[in-house]
Amino acid sequence: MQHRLCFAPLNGLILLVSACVLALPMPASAQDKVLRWHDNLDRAAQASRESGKPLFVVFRCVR
Amino acid sequence: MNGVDLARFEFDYDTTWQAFFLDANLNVYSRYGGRDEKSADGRHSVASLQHTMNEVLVAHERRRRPESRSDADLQPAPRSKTTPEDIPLLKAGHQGCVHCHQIAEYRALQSFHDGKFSRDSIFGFPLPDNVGINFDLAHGHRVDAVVPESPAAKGGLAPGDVVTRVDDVPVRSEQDFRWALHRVVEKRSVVVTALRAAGSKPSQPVSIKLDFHADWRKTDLGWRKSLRSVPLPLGFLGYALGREERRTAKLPDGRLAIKVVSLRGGGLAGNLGLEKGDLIVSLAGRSDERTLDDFKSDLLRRYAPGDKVRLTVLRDGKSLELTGPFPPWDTTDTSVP
Repeated sequence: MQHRLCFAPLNGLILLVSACVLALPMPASAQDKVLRWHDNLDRAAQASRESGKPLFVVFRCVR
Repeated sequence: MNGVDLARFEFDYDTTWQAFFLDANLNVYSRYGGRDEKSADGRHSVASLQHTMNEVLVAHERRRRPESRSDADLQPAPRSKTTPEDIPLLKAGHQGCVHCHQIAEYRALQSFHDGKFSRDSIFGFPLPDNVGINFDLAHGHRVDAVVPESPAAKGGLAPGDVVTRVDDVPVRSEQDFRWALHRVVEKRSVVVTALRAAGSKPSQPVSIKLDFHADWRKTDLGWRKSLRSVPLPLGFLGYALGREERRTAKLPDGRLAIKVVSLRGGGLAGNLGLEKGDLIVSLAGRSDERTLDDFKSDLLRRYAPGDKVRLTVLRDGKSLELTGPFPPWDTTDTSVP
């Protein structure tokens, strides 16, 4: 689904991705270069607090 | 999943993708994800995810204004934090990264070893189909069709209704609906709130009671990786025949054909008198082709320990009907690969 995440509503969200398996590096798509993803929940929550935007948290299995 | 708060981030851990929408205090607005037996993402769509995102943004704005702030916009909060490391068997026997599906597997093993395993626990995140609802894939929680005679039909839900709540759970996606059903353990009914179109007037909220039938939670388990940790003592090793072997055995494509390769002693095989080399061609009169995992799934859907199981096997070219009790839950496993 990663390449499909091109929505206007994303601009209103703080984005956090958590890989269920971290053994492999995650490929960076073109979309990732546009969107800024956090990889730490506490820091994402802090960014959410400061910006007033809600969090969009994704768990995905990276095989 | 190491260290993740499973109470807050509760989802179907056999799936490979799941999203949450939260506020800065980690209160949950919505969940998006879920799958069925057919595919990993057949219940997702770009349009429905966008619907959910927009509804979350509206709710978030509403909560930021003191005059409209309401906890009714949030999903019920978990009572306490729990992590994978709180599962004793996982803590004792697992090293490295905890995969999502291993949560479900360790929970099944732990509950068995604690003497608390229940068949209902493996039928998580019931599909809306189980209560007779097909949601519009492009919307997520707007009813596209209602199955006649189903709980939804009997309750009065209608195509076009937009489900906004199940009991105390706000619904902004199909997965919210499934999570609300997942939380129902003892009850036999829920109250669904939906918005119904009223001609040229604004949509009106309607309240509908869904009364469940006895087996309402049961869904196909064959796709679940956690199926391997369910304490079902088959008592044999086997596999579903491929095309070449089917031809040799003169079995048509589309027919159930599970070959018993070896016996492990006891279990279902012992209770039924299965023998090495037997070909299982029918379960309770149903003979459509299935994998071994789908066969196990069918067993679990149909039977509880003590129930009478009926199999048809081919042995030395002859058809035999075998019957015997479904065995008690049992496993010697204490860890998962």
